[in-house]
Order: sequence, then structure tokens, then C-alpha cells
Amino acid sequence: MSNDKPIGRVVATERNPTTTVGVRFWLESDVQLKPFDLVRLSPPEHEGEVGEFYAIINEIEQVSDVPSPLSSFISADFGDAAITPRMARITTTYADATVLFNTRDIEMPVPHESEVHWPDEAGVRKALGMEDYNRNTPAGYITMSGPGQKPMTIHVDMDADYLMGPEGGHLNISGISGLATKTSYAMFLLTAIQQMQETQWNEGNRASFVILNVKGTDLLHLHEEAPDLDKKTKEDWTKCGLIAGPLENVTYFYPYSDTGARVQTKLGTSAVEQNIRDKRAYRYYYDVAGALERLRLLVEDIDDPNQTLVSCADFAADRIDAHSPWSTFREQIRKWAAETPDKQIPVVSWRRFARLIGQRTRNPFFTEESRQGGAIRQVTLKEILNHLQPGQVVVVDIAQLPDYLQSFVVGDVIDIVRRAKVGDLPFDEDGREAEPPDLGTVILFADELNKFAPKRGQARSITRHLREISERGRSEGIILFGAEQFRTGVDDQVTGNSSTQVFGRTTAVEAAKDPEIRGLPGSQTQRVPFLRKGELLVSHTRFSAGTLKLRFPRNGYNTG
Amino acid sequence: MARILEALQKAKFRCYAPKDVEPLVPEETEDESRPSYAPFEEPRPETEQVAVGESGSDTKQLFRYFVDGSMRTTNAGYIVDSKDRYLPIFIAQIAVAATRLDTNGIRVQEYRNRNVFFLPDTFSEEDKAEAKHLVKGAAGSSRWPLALDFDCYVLEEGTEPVDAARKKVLAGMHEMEITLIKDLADSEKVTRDDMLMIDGSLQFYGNLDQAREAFRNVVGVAKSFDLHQRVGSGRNAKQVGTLVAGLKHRHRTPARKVTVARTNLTVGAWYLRLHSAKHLAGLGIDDGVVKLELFPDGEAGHQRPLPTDRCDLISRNVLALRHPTTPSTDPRWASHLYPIHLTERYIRTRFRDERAVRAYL
Repeated sequence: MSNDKPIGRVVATERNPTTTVGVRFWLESDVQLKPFDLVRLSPPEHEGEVGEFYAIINEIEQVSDVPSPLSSFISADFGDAAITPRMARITTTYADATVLFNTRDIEMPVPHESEVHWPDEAGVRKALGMEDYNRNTPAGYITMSGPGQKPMTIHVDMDADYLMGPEGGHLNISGISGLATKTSYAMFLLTAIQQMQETQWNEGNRASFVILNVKGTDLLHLHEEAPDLDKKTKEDWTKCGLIAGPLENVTYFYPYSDTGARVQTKLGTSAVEQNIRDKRAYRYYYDVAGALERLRLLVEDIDDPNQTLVSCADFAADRIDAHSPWSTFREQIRKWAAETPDKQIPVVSWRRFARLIGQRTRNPFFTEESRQGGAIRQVTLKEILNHLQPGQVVVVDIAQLPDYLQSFVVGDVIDIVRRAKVGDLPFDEDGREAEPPDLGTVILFADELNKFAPKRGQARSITRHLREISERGRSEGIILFGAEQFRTGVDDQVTGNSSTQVFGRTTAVEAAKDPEIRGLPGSQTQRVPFLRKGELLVSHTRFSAGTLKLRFPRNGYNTG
Repeated sequence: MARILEALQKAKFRCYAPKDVEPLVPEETEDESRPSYAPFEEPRPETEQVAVGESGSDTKQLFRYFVDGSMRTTNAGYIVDSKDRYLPIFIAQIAVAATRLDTNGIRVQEYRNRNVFFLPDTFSEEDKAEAKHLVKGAAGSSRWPLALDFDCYVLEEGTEPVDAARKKVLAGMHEMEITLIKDLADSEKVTRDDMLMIDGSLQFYGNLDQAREAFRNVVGVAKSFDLHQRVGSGRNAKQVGTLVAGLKHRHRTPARKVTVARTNLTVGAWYLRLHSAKHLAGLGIDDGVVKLELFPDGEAGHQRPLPTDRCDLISRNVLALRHPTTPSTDPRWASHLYPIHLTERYIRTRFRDERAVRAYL
């Protein structure tokens, strides 16, 4: 079957006319298409110079001339299921599609009887608007039906200007764990950005990356090449214009511990020691000064309608000497619990606050710098994050920490980065204002976003931080790549401000609840619960198609 | 750019826009002279009901081609003739198609059509020539040109003008069907093993003499027939209605010789029940029954009776085409044969919409 032979014809009927957006066409009986495939529509000659149209398929239906099941029953000799008619009933398969592009920039309905053809790759990329991007970022590939049942693979890009600023920003990925491949896709995009900014982009902002490892060890081997990197995977990466491999320039931060390998991580001891030896990892801790700055983060998850716990935290942060040791800190809190220093806060709240703080600062990473601090690479996050460099990847491991400490660390990371970006830095040893570092655009990846910015409950400062990032981060140079199982469980402002939305497989209930999924055209909504592993619906501001079904190469890094 | 009526009015013709929009419905009736129905099968079946049996799905299909004709007439208005008679004028879209059925499904083999403007035949030759020029010119110079032929229907004493026009349109359609079948036969596509089925009775074709050979491998299948016709003679004579009412599922009647006096045509004809009557209680007694007609071998006047095995073979192959059925599309669905139904549908999809035709007036 040649590319030039039409595979169907556009049909504009009284009940279903073609519009500037929608078109319907029937297909030859041996043609197989699938939703999200693109087709080229060539109007009849008598229509004049109206150019060619490209359209993306929303749904495919088959119709016969049977008006009802009863007719079919009658037709089978009144219910003889074994009967095989000499002549098959007439049927036709037709597709509904959305018009994306016209080669002459004409916005008129696709003419009736236009020929339907297989598209070519250049045409598809042009139709999807990718030729006009400023900074192309590989985003995966479309596997489309093609002539002779041979699939066509077309690589798809996002525009970095709309993925990581300045024109648009933020990305949100949702879907069921294990099937939606959320983390893998985020890492693929980060790798793509890292490679492209090193090799392709001549201008525009460059990015550094802060990755929060909230569970398992998936993100603790990002610097290691995948052991099963086979030829096919490498070809898939090449198709996308990338080199299969791990992320470069990766630094890990494990929470400090005073026992064992002196870290709290799910990573094996030998791997930790190796990374420390290779100067690729640090142990992070919180001294009193560091903790005081974020003290309220330790109590914000507690139901506290009158905000008395937060008031206690603010009171303590104002009055406790930042240079004091943890023993003094704890003693002072206990003392206030007994004395009730601020009469506006009830004693009950002080006691509750003392009990909580006592319990929550018991973690070994709330400590002073040990005497061998330098040797064992014990640092505060601020020391390193304040000096991030474009291209650098920082992984902050919080997987072993309880929820409230995960929020504490995430809040801290966000605050450090934001302050660094706006130049709000501590004075140096000579009392001079520190020079703001060139962090580039900081891309922050956080899984389990619902934990840090939940939709329900009182807005915590971490939620507010994330909201602000989603609203103003683009101009500040902080971009949030967030992931979660259920998008409806995340604060609307945090998800809603993302210019790129990625949907992996999710439940039917979630698909019905999520307005973003409900807003997808026609049957795409119904398709989300049935996406296969590795298939994603990606909606990017610059996609002329709105939403594309993409696949992406297997990980180039070791997933542990 | 004048439209048809305007062009005629601007000349000397007194014509008016159509009063109603009722289309002309074709209607065919069997010969009123009630042809004879003598036994015409060899060996002669012993019973009035011959079991046909089913042909297996692996047996070769006998019917390869299917021909149907259809027409859509548009009431184009009225014209006043020289005797001050107020007579209808019509535009008829007449089309015939042949489809071919094979393992890949059904495909259109041939499609022919004509659009004809019908004027009453009560004008002078000069007037007719002028009207023809005006009508063809107006239709042809339209923004969406229409190739329009010109013809006249003949008014006969005691015949309504509408019936006269109908007769003319039907004759035109039959002529096109005959030509098409003749062309298919000439190209040796239609053979004894690749037969052609035509929708309707062969008795309606008035001028088959020239095409008798082309119809050698053609079977006419009629959904409608005269139920009052008497078949047989003496005490055994029965009306067709009685005969088909008692006809069992997958059974046929013996073939009988039918001679149409008007055209002196002789065909062998028999009735075949496609669907069990017990399921069709709500329909007429002839629903689910078709009348099959076939020219006998031999010269005119010396035709040999139809061989029984040929009648059985044809009947089995017609029976095999009873599925799929098309309930809800037509009250006569039980007598439809699907390839014929599709052929007719194809023609109808090619017709211009009634409103579009009116736009030329």
C-alpha cells in the first residue's frame, strides 16, 4: 500500500457536518487506525487551493445497517447463533478527528469527500507545532499506525520555554503507582533537559535539578547506568535525539544518623559508603539554627484550629538562641511548657507543643555538627543548595523519614531554594551580603505531592510555598515537577498552574472526578483507566493537538 | 442565469411552480391478461411443495452479479398546452447499477444514470425543440450544472397524465437495465455458473426480443406478485395467494410456464419461501416469499421445460442470500435479498436530494 493511496474519505452530513475543528471520515476496510493517530486530509481538486489538513483521531466507530439488536436477532434466522450468512452485512468503520493544522493556514471546514492519507513524519511534527519551538525538549514518541500495518514512530518534543520558563512552566504527573511510570517519565524529561542544555541549546535559561526521593531507592542510583540497557532501549533514546544513560553530575543527601552507616536511607550501606567516598554524597543534619527557621513545619500537620501550636513555634523561634545546642533548646521548651511564658497561649497548648517538639526532634538528624563533620561529609542542606550550579542534580533522600519530617525537609528545601533565588542569603564571615549564586532555573521534582500540598485540610506553609512556586515560580526561576497518584488529592492551585499535565493510568473513579481528565476530548477520558504501562497522555501548552498519547524509552539509569 | 421555469416562462410557455411535492412512485403490475400457468419443469415434481435444502457455506456461489434500477422523480410544476390543459412536468433521476459479489464483499461493477426532464407530448415539434433547448440550457448553465435529457410522455385516452409519465419513466429505466445486462453478457462476465440476479419480474420488460440471449443466465426475483392469479387447472387450480400461504420454509413450488400475451414472452416461474411464516404473522401472506423467473432454453415457441436440478440449485442459492435481513428499513424486508437491497441503496445514495433538484426549477 503506497503512502499516496487514500485510505478513506471525509464525509460531511446534515447531522454531522465538518467544522473548523471536527471532521469525520470513513476508512477502507483493510485499514487499521487507533485513537491519537494522525492523518492527512487532502481536499478534492474542485475545492481549489485550500491546502491540506492534518487531524488527530479521537475515536473510531463501526456501524452496520442493523438498527437494533432485534433486527440482528431476526436476521440470524430468528436467533440461530450458528448461522453463517453467505454475504456479510455491510459495515463501515469511521473515525472522528480533530483538525490540527492546515498547510495554508486556512480555517475552513474540511471539505466533504477529502481524501484521507497516511501522514509523513515531517508533516506530523509541523502539524503538532513542533517546528516553531524555541528550545525543543524530547518528550517521548508517538507510535502511530502506518501503511501496510507497519507502525510509524514519530518523536515528540516539548518547548522548554513552556516547560521550565520563561513563557510557561511546571509539570504535573498523575497515575497509579507501578503502572503510570511517573517517576521514570520525570527522570526521562530531566535527562532530556540536562542533555539538551549541554549540547543543543545556545540560549535561554539553564537548569539545575533538586529531586526529592520520598520512597524506595529508585532515585538513589541516578548516576548509575541501567544494567539492562539493551540495543532496543538505546535505539529508542536515539529516536528521541538523546543518548541513553544516567543523569550526570548527581549529588545525594542522606539524612544523618548517629548509628550504623550514620545515615537514614533505604540504600545499602556499601553503596552509601561508596558514594561518600566518591564525594558524590553528603549526610545532612539540622542544628538548632536550621530547625528554628522551620519550626512551625514540625507542627503544621496537627489539627490546630486556633493556631496555638504555630504561635508556640513562632514564639520559640523568636526567643531561642540559634547557636544553642539541642539540649538547651529542649530544656527551654520544657521550661516554657511549665511556665506558660506567653499568657495568650493556653498552658494546654504549651504542654502539647512541648510534647510534640520533644517527640519530633528526637530524630538523629536534629543534632550538632560532629567533630569529624568534614570527614564524614556532614552538612546542612543550606550549605550546598545555596551554591547549586546549572546542570547539577541534587537528590535529597527523605524516604526513611516519617511523614512530618518529610514535610519538614521538603519545606526547608523549597525555602532555601527560594531564598537563594531572590538573593536572601546569610551574611558572610566578614559581615558582607553574600553574592547571589547562579542556580539557573531550579527544577524541583517531588513525588507524593498530595502529601506536601493536600487539597483538603488547613493550608500549611509548605502548601503555601508550593502554591507560590506554581504561581510565581516561573518568574522566580523555580519550576515544580510534581507527581502523585491521585491528582484530585492535590491542591488545585498547585496542579492547575502546570502548563504541562501528564496522565498515566488511573482509576475510573479518579478519571471521573478529575476535571482535567473530564475535559479531555470525547473518548480520551474513558481511555485513561485503560492506559498501558508506559503509555501517558501528555498535555503540553505548545501541543497543537492539546493532548498526545506518548511512550518514552526505558530508563537509562539504574532503578535499584 | 435563469432557472428552468423562468426560462420557459420568458419564452412563450405558460408554466407554474409545483403545487405539491409528492414524488412519482413507480408502480408495476403484472399483465392484466392473466397469463397461463402450465407445468414447466422436468422431471415434474410430484408435490406442490419442493424442499430446497440449504447450500453449505463452502459451496460455490451461483449469483455473482446483481442488477437493480431506481428512479427519483421530482414534480417540476405544471404547463398549459395548446388545448389549455394543465399538465404536470417532471424531472426524473433514473439510474441502474450492477454489483458484483465475491469473497471480498460487494463492489459496484457498473453504474449508469440519466436525468430527464419530462414534458407532455402535446406540443408541436417546434415547441418541444424550443423547450428542450431552454431546459437543457438553464440546467446546464446553473452554478452546479446538471446534464438534463429531454423527453415527452405520451398522453393516452383514459390515462391520467401522472400514470403516463410513470409509464414512460419506468420504460426508460427498464431500457437502461436491459442495456446494462446485455453489456455484461457481451463481456462474458455473466455465465451459467456466474449468474445475474435482477430485482423484479422479467415480465415487465417489454422489448426483450433483442436481448433474449443476454438474459439466458439472468434470474428475476420479484417481491410482489398477483396473489389472485390462478395456477393450475380444473379442480387443482389454486390462487397464488393460497399457494404461497401454505408454502413451507425452504420450500418452493414447481416451476410453471408463464406466457405474457402482451409481449409474447415465455418464462419459467416458481415461488420460494425465504423465511418461516410462523415468524411473520404480522406481515402479509406473501411476505417472506419471492417469485423467481428464468428464461427457458430453446428458441421462441419451442422452449424446453426447466430442469428440476437447475431450479433447485437456483432456489438454494437464492435462499442462501436471505441473510442478513433488513427489518425496519422496509415493510417488505422479509422478501428482500441483501445484495439487491444494497444495490438499490447504492443507487439511492447517488441521487441528488429532492431540494437540490428543485433548485434548478
